[in-house]
Amino acid sequence: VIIDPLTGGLGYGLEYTYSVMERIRLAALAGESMLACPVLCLVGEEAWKAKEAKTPRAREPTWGDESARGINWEIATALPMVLAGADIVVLRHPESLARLKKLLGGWFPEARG
Amino acid sequence: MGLTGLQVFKLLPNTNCKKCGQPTCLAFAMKLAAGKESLDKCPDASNDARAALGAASAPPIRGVTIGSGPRAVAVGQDTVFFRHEKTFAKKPALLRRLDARGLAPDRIGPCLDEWASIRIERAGEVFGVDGVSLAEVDGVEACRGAAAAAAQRGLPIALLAETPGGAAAILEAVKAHRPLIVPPERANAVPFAGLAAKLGVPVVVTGEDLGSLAEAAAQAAKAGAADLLLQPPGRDLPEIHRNLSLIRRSALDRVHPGFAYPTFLRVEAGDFEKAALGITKFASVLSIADHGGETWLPLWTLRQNIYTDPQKPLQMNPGLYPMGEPDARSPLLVTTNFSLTYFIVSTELEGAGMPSHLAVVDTEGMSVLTAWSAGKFSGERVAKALQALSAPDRISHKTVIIPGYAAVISGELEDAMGAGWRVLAGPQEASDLGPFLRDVWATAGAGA
Repeated sequence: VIIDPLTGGLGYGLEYTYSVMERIRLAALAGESMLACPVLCLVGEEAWKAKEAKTPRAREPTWGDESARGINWEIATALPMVLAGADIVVLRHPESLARLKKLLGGWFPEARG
Repeated sequence: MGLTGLQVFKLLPNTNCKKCGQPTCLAFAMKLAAGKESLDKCPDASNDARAALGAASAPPIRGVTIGSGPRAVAVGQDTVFFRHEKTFAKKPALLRRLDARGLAPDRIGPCLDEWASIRIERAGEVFGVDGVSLAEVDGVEACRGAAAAAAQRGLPIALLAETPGGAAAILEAVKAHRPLIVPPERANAVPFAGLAAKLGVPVVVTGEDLGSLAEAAAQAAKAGAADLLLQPPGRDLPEIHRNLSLIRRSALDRVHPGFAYPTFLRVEAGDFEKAALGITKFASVLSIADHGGETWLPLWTLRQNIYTDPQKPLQMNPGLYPMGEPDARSPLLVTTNFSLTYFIVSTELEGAGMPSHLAVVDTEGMSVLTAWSAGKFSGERVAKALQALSAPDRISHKTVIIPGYAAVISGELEDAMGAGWRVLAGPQEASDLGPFLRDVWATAGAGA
């Protein structure tokens, strides 16, 4: 059994998922067997739904370059999920995938690559 | 904090005299442990009890203020490790690195003006640049000018220093503005702490590992510097993450007085991940080299998310929000002021291809079903709110669309709105709003 806590994207409920996941992991470590399952986060879909990830700079000049912004938006959604104990993270953009994998290699050397 | 109710109980006289207003000493102890009572109410408390409770109620992490005036930033004073335990108290300050060498002196003022004027509003919070960081390597003269210009605009300053002498020369004139001194990594803490003590400003302490960091902090405190920030040691992000976590844990558990301070993180250009990690995990002040909105907007939003008080939902200000550029014939929709509800509904409406008016009603931050069952989204209340927002004056028709989950208030709302009004129950899921406007509104609503 894998738990999907229903990921909230950055700016769209991320904090709920983040705290729910921390509590799931704490409960599992304290012996709650129903929660002692790997956690899956569907990050890509949620992150790229946000208008902040897609709106072109021409329409929102203070938001900066949209292609870099979208990738950062996806990473800033994924990273807190990983810190809260995500076991499987589903991303969309190849560059955020590469950057996150590089980062995860430091925590989990076997995942390097 | 620190002590449990039973630990506090053991310090009390156990006479159950009721002079404190509580029925028993145990009840009083529980209130004390929860921070809801003060020991002053117990006339028979021993000095030992006062000392023990006083030490336990001192904040485990010192509050430190950088800057002065309305833009000053206060960090620290956190009391928990997980945000769901209570809330994270002081959100981290995001400082933007100013290139004092690359900018001509007459460009620094306009650049700071631009930074100081950034205001991006999101869910009731205004995002802005919290302050600037300068680097001594850019030149003492250039930094001195930039520091004066930043202080003049009320922007808090951090100086990434190289030498105590250089830092003194740059900061002497702006010391009243409480700039933060950041020594180079692994510098001897004492001379910089001495300078901070002399100027009366906060200073960062570094160390090769956590042990030497705590030692250096203790030394800096001994040298007279009261307001310290700790720079977590670490060569890569996992190590920095571990050390930020251990510093927070050690501070809360009062392992060593050298850990009882907020933290500082340097983020070089292109290191977005480090900034995101720091904001999520316990960094208190960050100096960020990148300037673009593509870096800052996600970081501001992440900070807003992590530092939202989990005890009360993020709320939108009630109001009539234009989705696109609506006119008098555009549809009028109504929803609650729970920020997540608003974000999801507004995102769908903005992408619907048909402009509309979205009325956000004050439901104390509850979502649609919760608000309805709590009586905060009744027909009468919604009607009153729509009138208060002058929503009827903005449209030429008399139709209002309500969330599908609240369809049951349709009749009551029609009555409360008055003659001629019609209520359309919208879809239950916001993702169906686009098709709803295209199909139902286009046929049933627009002509009415």
